[in-house]
Amino acid sequence: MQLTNSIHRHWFYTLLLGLSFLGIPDLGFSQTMNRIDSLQSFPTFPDTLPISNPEEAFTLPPAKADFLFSYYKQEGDHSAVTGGEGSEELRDIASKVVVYLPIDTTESIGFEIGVNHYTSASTDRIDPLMSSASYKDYRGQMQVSYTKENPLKRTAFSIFVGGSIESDYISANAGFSWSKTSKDKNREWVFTGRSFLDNWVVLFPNELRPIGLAQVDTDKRRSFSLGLTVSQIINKRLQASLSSEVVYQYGLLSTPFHRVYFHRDSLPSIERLPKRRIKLPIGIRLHYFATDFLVLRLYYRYYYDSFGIHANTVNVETPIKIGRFISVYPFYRFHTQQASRYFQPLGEHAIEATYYTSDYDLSGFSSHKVGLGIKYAPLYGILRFKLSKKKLSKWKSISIRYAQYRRTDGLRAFLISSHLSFEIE
Amino acid sequence: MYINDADMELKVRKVESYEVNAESYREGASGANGGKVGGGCGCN
Repeated sequence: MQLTNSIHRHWFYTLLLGLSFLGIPDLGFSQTMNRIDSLQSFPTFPDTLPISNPEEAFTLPPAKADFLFSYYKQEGDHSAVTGGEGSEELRDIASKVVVYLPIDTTESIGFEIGVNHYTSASTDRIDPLMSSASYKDYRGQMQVSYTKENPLKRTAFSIFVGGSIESDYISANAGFSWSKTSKDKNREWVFTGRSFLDNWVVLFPNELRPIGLAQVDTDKRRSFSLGLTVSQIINKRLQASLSSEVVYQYGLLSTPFHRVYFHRDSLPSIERLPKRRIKLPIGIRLHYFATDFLVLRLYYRYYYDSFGIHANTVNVETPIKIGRFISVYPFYRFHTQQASRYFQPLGEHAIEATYYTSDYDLSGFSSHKVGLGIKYAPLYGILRFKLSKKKLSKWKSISIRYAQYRRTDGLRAFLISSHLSFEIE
Repeated sequence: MYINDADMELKVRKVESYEVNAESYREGASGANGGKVGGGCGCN
């Protein structure tokens, strides 16, 4: 068996090297969907290929590191913490490092570590009389993944585990993905499964604590999802993908410090939502290389869930190439959703209702997002520096993106983010 | 060549990941776009 694997590996490395002699670009299996041009140019390969330097065939792919940073600010007047009216001001600063390390030519591991720091006027009102500890908070998160590719079967399998922690919420997750590419490399199927095991540190609004009106029977939230994405190259300029997902959640799906005020009753209650929720999103992505300087990236999603939310989302992005290495991309996103059957504004819930929320994230609204991104990625990198005699580090690219967001209920936000990409060869 | 262009990749850009995350909190709908479906209360 080991001998067979060894022969298969040797054959594969030989083929890889041979293809590189034929001038076919980008043989990385991380982007299996980019094959149509090369296959049309070279439909068949010779049985034996020359090897001038066998060591080259076993060269590891480069290690990669991505540094991401964002600043988010929002303003609004519909805080769910104060029952649907009140400041939603929020600032969030986030940074993340993602590292990809090849073990050999078919195996790799990935690490992701990130931290957020936010200040929230909304959660500050859990206790209306004094500024609470929840006015500001940190969130840390970590993810580890392992990927094994089988080039002969054209498959890849990944597993990942991770978690996040903030003052009132702890989350652990695990999952897998399995992908298969068609023989002509123009179609790919990706199956993904994820589970999130979350635990609340339950906090109630301050005025409800002594009278015992606020109670929940669990502090756990569980989420499971299964997803399938099929990608297809249609022609040299056009490719598309169809993604669908089934998400099942159970446990404490409401937020225990969200207040709800009823019709003709001055005393609030805490938000109540069903203990189970099923989400069914389906999305279509279409990318078209229109001209040498213009690409169209189109995305549409339909969403339905068991809380009664129906939503439609459209995203249009048009990268414009300025020169060989700079790409500028304006984008626009439109989202519209029908309210959850459990949503009512402040003071409009009937006291006999079983479930109720005044969280405007679950209300009916439309939203518009508009912005601009820029990416600079020179062929040989922005900067190169030697780490050792054999190791060379390359700052590959930089991306900066600015987005303005408006919701028809008055919520406004902007987000600026950046991405720096490095490689070590 | 056209298909191999970085702008043609059939996924959300990494630099966009924070926006996808914020949208999953600020809108009732999420998923089918590489975004998260859990792990974080999004309660503020």
